[in-house]
Amino acid sequence: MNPAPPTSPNPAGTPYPLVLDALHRRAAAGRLVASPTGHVLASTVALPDAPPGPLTRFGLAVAEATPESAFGEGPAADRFASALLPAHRELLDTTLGHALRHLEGRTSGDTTLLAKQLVVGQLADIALRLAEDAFVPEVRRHADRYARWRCHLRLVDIGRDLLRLLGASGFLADGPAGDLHLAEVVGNVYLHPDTENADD
Amino acid sequence: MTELREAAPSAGTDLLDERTRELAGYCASMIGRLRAIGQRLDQDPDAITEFLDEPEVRFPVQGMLPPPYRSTGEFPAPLVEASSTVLGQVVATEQVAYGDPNVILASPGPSLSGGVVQALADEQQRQRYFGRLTAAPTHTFFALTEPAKGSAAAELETTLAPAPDGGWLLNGVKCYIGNGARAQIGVVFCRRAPGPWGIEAVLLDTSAPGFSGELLPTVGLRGARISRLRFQDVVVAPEDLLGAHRSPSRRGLYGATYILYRFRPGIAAMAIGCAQAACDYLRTHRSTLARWDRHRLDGILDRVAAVRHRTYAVAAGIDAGVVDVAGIGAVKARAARIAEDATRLVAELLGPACLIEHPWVEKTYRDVRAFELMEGTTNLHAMAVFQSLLRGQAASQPVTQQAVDGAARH
Repeated sequence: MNPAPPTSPNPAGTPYPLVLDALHRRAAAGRLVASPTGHVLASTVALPDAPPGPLTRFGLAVAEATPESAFGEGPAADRFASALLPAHRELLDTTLGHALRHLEGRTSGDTTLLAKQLVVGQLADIALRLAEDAFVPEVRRHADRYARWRCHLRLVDIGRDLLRLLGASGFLADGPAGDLHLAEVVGNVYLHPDTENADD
Repeated sequence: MTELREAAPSAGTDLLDERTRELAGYCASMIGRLRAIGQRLDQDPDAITEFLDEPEVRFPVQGMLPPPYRSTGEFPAPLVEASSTVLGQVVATEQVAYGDPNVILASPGPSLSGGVVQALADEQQRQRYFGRLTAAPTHTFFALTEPAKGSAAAELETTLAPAPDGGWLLNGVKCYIGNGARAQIGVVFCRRAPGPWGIEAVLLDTSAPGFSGELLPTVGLRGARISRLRFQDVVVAPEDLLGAHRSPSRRGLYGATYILYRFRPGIAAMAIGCAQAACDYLRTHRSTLARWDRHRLDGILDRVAAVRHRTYAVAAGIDAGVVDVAGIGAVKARAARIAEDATRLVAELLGPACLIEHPWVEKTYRDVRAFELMEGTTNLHAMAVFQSLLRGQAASQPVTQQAVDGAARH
């Protein structure tokens, strides 16, 4: 089965799987970075021989690390993990812009949803949280794996709140929801601080 | 499958009588098979056709059919009857969703449109609709939501205009309609005239010229086959107008609100079932949790038990003829949020790469996000809750008055 090409989930941005490929290239030229659990996540273009799975239709492939992968806790893995957070945040910035346009196009009664105080307040709160996250000092953000995980969870919170504002369109795989799901999965694989596995 | 039913699933079930508890147990016995079918549907949502003869697919829709159209002798009649109430549907749906919510949503059967037909249709229309469902596996749809207006029933823009040769012509677009593109028959809400009583519900055969449907790719809950429907000069005959024998205030919009209130607790039940299943999965696969993590899990389970209890209460209220509009919206909204929170916590506590190594968790993590948007988002229900606060929790109004009051948005 041929893997599906990466979708174009984001009308205004690069599909997340391709963003991920670029992060791999930047962290370890010519190699793909493996997670501490020994997984490699990249686009279906970068991993054409990966077995099909539930994320294939999102354009994301999952493979076991090979001897050629950049492994473990080394500098390449550290650079890659560091870069995942700004990529996630950039995706949220783009989604926020998308939400503004979307809500302006939706009407209730005689006004757009963007004129509703409830919606405005929620959008402003999201913008504030995004800005706050951007100002977390790098030394704190990347202090250790737990610090990165905390940042990841904050970004996931923001993404979920944004998608709720999009209503049903926030559940479409070819919209921001698809990319944000991938960002959550990638964080679970590469940023989760625990090393302990489940019982089985 | 060791991950199934680690704990009692129905803490908070003191509102249930013996028959309804029996119904819950009967549906719980289907969980293993439902989970297997659900995994298959996530890969191929149309694979439901491979399972149409299985009791796990056939039983849950029986209670949604009027008695003359139910399967005879195939299932315990008292349990089918028990599942025909709103509370019974909630209890059964929770168990079925614990197995997998995709299965019931992917299955042929009446769903919401059947409820509208039961509520509004004349005898000939009922025979036409339910007879068809009985004759062969038939997918149906309930088309209310529109691209620009969402599920604001009173604001819909799909039009029903007089046709030159009699009858009407249907024009417009509906969005996010479950099973719409693969259905054979369904109900479309449309506007015949200005004002709330100018809204009509029409029965539509999808083979009609001018009808088209396309599937929308969703992040999860793929079995629901969410679709966009277009109607271009679709001919609607006089006999397709549901409830033509009723006054305008007792059809169209009334039918939409009536059925949404009755079905909304079922969405809450799906979310509750998934949340409980996720927590049980964690307890099976992580037999030891740090104390603080146990507290976090218990916090989710507290919320599950609370919203389950409240869902049963509003469902029982509907069966008794009392519709607590704010309460119904509240349980749907809260259950949806709890299901999201539960799956996120489980993904965190199962450990790194669990969303790769535990495919069921990854699927459920995606699926549960649908409950937020099904039958109105939390923001809409929050407004109803606030209106209820303003009214000072006044005594519940008669059903019909509540239906009119709540008709503005759904």
